[in-house]
Amino acid sequence: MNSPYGLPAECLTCHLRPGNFCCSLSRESLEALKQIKHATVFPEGAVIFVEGQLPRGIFMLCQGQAKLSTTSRDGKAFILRIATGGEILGLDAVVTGKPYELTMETMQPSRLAFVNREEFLRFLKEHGDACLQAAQHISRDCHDAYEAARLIALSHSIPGRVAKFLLASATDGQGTNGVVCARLALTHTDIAQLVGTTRETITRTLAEFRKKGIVEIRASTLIIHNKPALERLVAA
Amino acid sequence: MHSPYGMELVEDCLSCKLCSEGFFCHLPKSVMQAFQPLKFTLAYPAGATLFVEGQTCRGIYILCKGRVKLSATSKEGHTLIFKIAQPGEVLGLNAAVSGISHETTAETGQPCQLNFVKRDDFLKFLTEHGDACMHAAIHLSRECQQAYQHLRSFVTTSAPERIARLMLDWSQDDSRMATAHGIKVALTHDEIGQIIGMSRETVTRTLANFREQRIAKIHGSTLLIQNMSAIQKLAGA
Repeated sequence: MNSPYGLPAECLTCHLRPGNFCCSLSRESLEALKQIKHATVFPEGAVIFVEGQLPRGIFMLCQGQAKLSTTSRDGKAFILRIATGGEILGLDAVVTGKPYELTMETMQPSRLAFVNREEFLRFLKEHGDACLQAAQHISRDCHDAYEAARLIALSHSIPGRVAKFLLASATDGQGTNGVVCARLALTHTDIAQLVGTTRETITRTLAEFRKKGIVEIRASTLIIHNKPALERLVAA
Repeated sequence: MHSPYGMELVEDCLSCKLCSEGFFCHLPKSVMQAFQPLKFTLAYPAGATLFVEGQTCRGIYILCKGRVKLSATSKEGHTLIFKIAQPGEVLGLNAAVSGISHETTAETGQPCQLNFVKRDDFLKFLTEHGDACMHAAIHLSRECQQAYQHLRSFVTTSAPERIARLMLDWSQDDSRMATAHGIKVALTHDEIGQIIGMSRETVTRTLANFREQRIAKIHGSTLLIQNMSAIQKLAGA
C-alpha cells in the first residue's frame, strides 16, 4: 500500500511494534483498540495539542518524533522531552479530564493514532492489561518530569547540564577508539529549551567544548571526543 | 487503647472514617475487602524516613493521617522539595508501578499513620481489580500534572510570582479561612525556598515585602492573606 511519507498504517500487522504501550498489549486488547483508533499522518512542525486545551483524546506516536514543551507566562519555552515512536501522549490529561499540561509538536513527518477520550476510558475499564500498561506509562512520564525538575532546579552549572544532555543523547551512539558518534537533529534553540537556558549560552558552551576538544557537532551529528571529560563535568 | 504519638490508629479500611472522595482507598467494597489483607498499618513519628531516592522500591505507602515531605537532593547538597503529601495520597506509587528506583526521599513531617503494601502484592492487586488500576492511573496522572506545574514554575524567574503561586495553592482548599483567620503553614523559610527553588534569603526578603505592602503575612505558622486580589495578580491567576 502506498502511504504518505512511506509510513505503515496498520496496528496489527505493524512491523514497528517497539516494546511500548499498545505494541505490547494482548491480541484481544489490540483488536479492541483497532476499532476505536484513527490513524493519521502529520507533516513536520504540526501542533497536535496545546497546553490549556481540554483533552479530546490520546495520541499514540507510532513513528516519528515530537517535542513536548511548556511555556511560562513570560513566554519562555521549556522542552520537557522529545517523544519517540511507541509513546502515548496526552495520557495524564485524558485520565484526569484536566487540560493538557504540555504542548506537542511534531519534529518529523509522524504517524499518529488518535483515540477519543470517552472511548479510550471505556477501553481501559474493559481491558485490565491495557489499564496497567497505561499506569506504567504515566509513571514513566512522571519519572521524566521529576528528572527534568531536578536538572533545572538542582544543577546550577550550565556546562554540567549541557554535558548531561549530550551524554544522554549519545547513549545509542556508535563508538570507535573512544570517539562516540550519534545523530542529534536539534537546533541550538531546541537544546537551550531542553536544558532550560538561552540559545546564546548554548552556542557559547558548545564552542568552548569544541575548543577544548571535548565535543563537536557537525551538521546533525554529535561527535564526542572525550567522554570522561563530559562525565567529569556532570559530576562537578 | 493507648496509641503511639497520641494518634488513634485505624486498622480496618472498611470502616475507616479518614477515607473520603479523592482518596486512593476510596474503592468499591468488594475491592476494599481484597485490599484489607494486603496492607500493614504503621505509625511513624515526625522526621522518619520512609524511603530514600535511588532506593529500589519495596512497596507503596498510603498516607492516612499526617504530612510527608517528598524531596530530592543534589550532589552539592541543594534540596528541592517536590511536594508536601496530604492524607489520601499514595507514596512511592510511581516507583512501584514502573519498577524504576525511587526518585524522591519521603520524610514524615508529623506523626503519621501509613498503610504499607508490598510491591508484588500491590501489582497483583492492580492486575486483578480494574477499578483499583484506574484509580492508580488517575493518581499517577495527578502526580504527573503537579510535577509539570512545578517544572513550569521554575522556568518563570520572579520570586514574588513563585511565592504568590505557592500561597494560592495553599489557600485553595479554604480561601475564606486564609483571608479571614489564616491557615496553618508549618514550613520554615528554608523549606519554602526548597519548594520554589530559591534561596532562604530571597524567601525572607520577599515575605518581608509582602508584609510591608500588606499583601500577606506569616505569623508563627499561620499564613494570613490580607490582599487576595494582589496575590492573584502576582500569580497571574
